[in-house]
Amino acid sequence: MRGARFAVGAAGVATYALVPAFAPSLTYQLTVIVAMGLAALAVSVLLRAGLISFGHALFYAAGAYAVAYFAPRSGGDMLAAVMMGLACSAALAALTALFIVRYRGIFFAMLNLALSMVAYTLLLKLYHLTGGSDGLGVTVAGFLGWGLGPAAQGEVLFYLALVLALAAAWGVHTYLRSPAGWALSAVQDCELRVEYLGISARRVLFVAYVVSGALAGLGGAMAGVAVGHIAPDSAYWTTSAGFLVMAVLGGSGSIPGAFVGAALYEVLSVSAAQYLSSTWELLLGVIIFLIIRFAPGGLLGLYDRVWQGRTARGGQP
Amino acid sequence: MTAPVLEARGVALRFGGVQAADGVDVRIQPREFFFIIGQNGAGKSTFLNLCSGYLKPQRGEILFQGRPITGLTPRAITRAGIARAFQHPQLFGQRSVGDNVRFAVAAHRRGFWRPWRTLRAPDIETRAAALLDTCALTRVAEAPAGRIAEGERKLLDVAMALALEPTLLLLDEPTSGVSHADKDALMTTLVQALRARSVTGVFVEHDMEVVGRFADRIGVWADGAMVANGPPDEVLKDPSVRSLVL
Repeated sequence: MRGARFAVGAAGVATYALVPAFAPSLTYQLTVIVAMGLAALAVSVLLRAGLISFGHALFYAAGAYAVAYFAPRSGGDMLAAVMMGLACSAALAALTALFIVRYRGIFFAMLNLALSMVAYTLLLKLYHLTGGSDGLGVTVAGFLGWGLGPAAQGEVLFYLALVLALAAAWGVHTYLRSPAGWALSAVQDCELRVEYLGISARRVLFVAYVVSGALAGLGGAMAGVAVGHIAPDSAYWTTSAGFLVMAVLGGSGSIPGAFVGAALYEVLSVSAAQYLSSTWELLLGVIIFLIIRFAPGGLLGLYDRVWQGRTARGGQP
Repeated sequence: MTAPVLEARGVALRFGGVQAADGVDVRIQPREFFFIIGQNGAGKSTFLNLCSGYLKPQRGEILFQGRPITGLTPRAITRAGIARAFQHPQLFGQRSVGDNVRFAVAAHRRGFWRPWRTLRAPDIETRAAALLDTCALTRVAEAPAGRIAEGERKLLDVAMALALEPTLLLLDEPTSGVSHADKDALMTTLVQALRARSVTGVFVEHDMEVVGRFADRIGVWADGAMVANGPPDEVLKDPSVRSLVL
């Protein structure tokens, strides 16, 4: 099954890579999906430890605002700006993690929510720094020294998103296979035993939180560059809830599931806006209900079940 | 006389109106199997909790290999060389028995925080396989830890503690919840595993048959204090102890 999953994933990546050649109008939408998929992946990492964050929009916004702030001051290089977004959100996550990893359950979820709402308000009120409710424009001018026009910029960002998302997915996969990554589910399962094995549960969660914040910031930075603008709404709690929904839709805790969930979420939101105006929340609610009721492992879990069923029946999968 | 592995000096702890530890003085010798007996509420588990850092004493001092460990965190005490097995085994129930042991091995080895290291690293696999074999768990290595028999859960708890290569192992009622028929096999496996590694054992135990068979020395607890201690033959025949415990 792992081989089949890999083949499907490779086919998906190859198809994605060919989009600018065959359907260039989709490049923007797909770049945004990958950016949101990274934020959903960030939330998924914490779900491994049973921790739910209602405030990861904080790091998503931090990444995007960092790009908006630093890009014009650093020559407008796209890669440097995105990396700066990642570094700033990782630093913010490390600062936040110093105290937030002391909490579990509802307190962890609510503290994240509280921090993101504080950030949202500051982004609104500190007009001279953040542009207030108008937000900031995000302008980049080149990539590794090459000047780029607007059209080429979108395409370069599209492939940069692909490369960074693959690197992030591989990095998270490696991390989750390591003892420190395995410890996430161990902390959820039996924190007392983790401590009595001589491992600091707080340190385990600190590392996870920084990784998670960096991923969300990377997503925010790429979304900021793709959209060309960032506003305080990106730090609002509904954005955080959206990342959680994406993670659950794709398969909570799953790496590819985060991107699949982000794609489904985006397709639904765009379709609903086009064909079912004012019923987006209804549609989303019904789908979340169906996923939780009939496919708690998300779309990836559903795929695995169908695949296993076909294999068990002896049919050619 | 050799220096004690563990020494408690006047350790005291009070919970509201209950004196859970009342000036406990005890010295545990290297490689000794010290069994603590006493009625429910006598303060036996409290003593293990104090020695393992789960509780902090209000008075007194606890020394491990001559160094004070009073008030240290469970993590620091574990790192110092004291491991613990629980009355209700503390396991990662969703994961396999093998993964539980592999994780415990990884926790003790260098490289725990390296992202490129995995639980399937050869050195971890080898050590985990040996521990599973020692604790007679190889047969259930692939089963989820939450679904094995109680005796196996107890042994898994011990295997995880032994993965830390401790000098001293604290075991809280290792045979509770285990059928009478299985107790002997469990204790034999456990004691052999400890003896083979020269690990000192402090057991809290209610079954006097087990105590009589496996103890080197017995400490009798009552009202938070050790009221008698000595070799099994001597202590278990003492009428005052029998009236107190049996």
